[in-house]
Amino acid sequence: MTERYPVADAEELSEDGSRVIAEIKGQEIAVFRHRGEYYALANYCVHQAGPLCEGALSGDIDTGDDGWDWVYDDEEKYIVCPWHGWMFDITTGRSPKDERYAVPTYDVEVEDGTVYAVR
Amino acid sequence: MARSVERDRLTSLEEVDVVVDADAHAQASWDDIRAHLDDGHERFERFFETSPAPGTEMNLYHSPTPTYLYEDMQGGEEETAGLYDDAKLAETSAVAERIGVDAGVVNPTLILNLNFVRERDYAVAIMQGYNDWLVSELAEYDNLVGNLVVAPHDPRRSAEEVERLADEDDIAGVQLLGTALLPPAGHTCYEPIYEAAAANDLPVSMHTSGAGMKPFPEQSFWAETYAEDHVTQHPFAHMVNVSSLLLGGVPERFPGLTFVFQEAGIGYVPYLLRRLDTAYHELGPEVPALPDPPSEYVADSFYWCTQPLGHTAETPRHLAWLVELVGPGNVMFAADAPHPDFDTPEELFDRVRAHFGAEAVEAMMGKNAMDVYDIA
Repeated sequence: MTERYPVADAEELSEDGSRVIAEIKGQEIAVFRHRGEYYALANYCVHQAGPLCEGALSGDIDTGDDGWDWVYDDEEKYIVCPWHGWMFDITTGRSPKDERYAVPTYDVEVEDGTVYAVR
Repeated sequence: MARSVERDRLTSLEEVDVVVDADAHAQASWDDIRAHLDDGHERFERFFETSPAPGTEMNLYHSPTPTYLYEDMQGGEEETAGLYDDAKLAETSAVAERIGVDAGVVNPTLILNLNFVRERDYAVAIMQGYNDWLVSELAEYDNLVGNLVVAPHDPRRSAEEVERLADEDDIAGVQLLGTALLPPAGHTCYEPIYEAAAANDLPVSMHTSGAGMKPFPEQSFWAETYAEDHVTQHPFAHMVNVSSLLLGGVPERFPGLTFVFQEAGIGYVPYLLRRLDTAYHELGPEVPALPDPPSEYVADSFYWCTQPLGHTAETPRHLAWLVELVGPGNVMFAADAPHPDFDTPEELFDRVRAHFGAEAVEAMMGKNAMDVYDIA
């Protein structure tokens, strides 16, 4: 059965790119605000258990139509693990590099100015 | 009632359908190449005629390359048949037959050093002369096909060369030599070569070479002996080229194109692939061209030739484990016939036959090469 846990005042997450990291019964969960929406994922990198959500948010580089040139996608929706640089999409929890890898994600609810993580 | 269980293991090399040497060799002499030069390359005929030793000028080196040690290479009344003397397809074909190889994919010997040539037109002339010699020679031997060489000095004319010869029955692939290949294989400048190979369904083989002064890999400059150079430069050159191809995204741009890496054994491969996958994740933004990890492209379209295997009888199981790490579907037996560090088919077969099922063993002994080089 899932429960919801208050992790932040909405004011703390008033800007895109802001985040809080809360400990819920021994597990750290981060809540990010991105393009007006909230996304929660475990503060845990599946590579070597690093504190994933303490890293920087980043866009990603892709190749252009010709396959040679590089194009920067500046939508900063990727959390970059501060230990080894592995990247995950905060909106899905998935690695953009390898479909085999993902970190757990959680639903987020907002009610009366409080942001809740549902676990 | 007892169930009937068939043993899915081969016990004798005689049970293997086809053994292919994915890296056989033949030597074109300078006279052979000169005799096949097209009009337009006349000025190089004069060079060949007037140079006291055109091979030496190409292969300036601090120690002599070993001559053939194998007794089949020392026929006739001559005291020895050196690497730059007679070792043509007749000898390659004979050695293949003698050691139990059904078919061989022929690569150059002296022309392994084509990339060392500085002058672009000279490299193009050698490319054309060697390739026409190869095509004419291959027609004489049922058990041999060959890779045409390209001159990376001139990717455009190399692509034209691929188009010119791709339909020859005995041309099985393109040889883009790995040593002294600057810039390395993933650079955009080689796109015409890959386009031509892909358009003609020809695999790209990359062979390295251990002799001669070369600008890459740089370790070669400080090797005092042929032995020292030979140990390090084959895997180092492959590691740089494989990394460049994969991280540069070439397999993503040419998804049907197959690569074969020759002459360095397979010991370096597991190490390399795991490092590539690690780099892919840890430095992800630097690898935008690949939507999947490098090892997945390798599994699809990269092949590794086994020779030289070393002294595998010391710990036979280790070779089986190594093949498992590399992936039996991506391994090709290579004898390197008739060069003096050749492996017999038993050297691989005896170590893997009990470890893998019959299908996997058949694949690595010959079927993989039959498929990639489209050998009938």
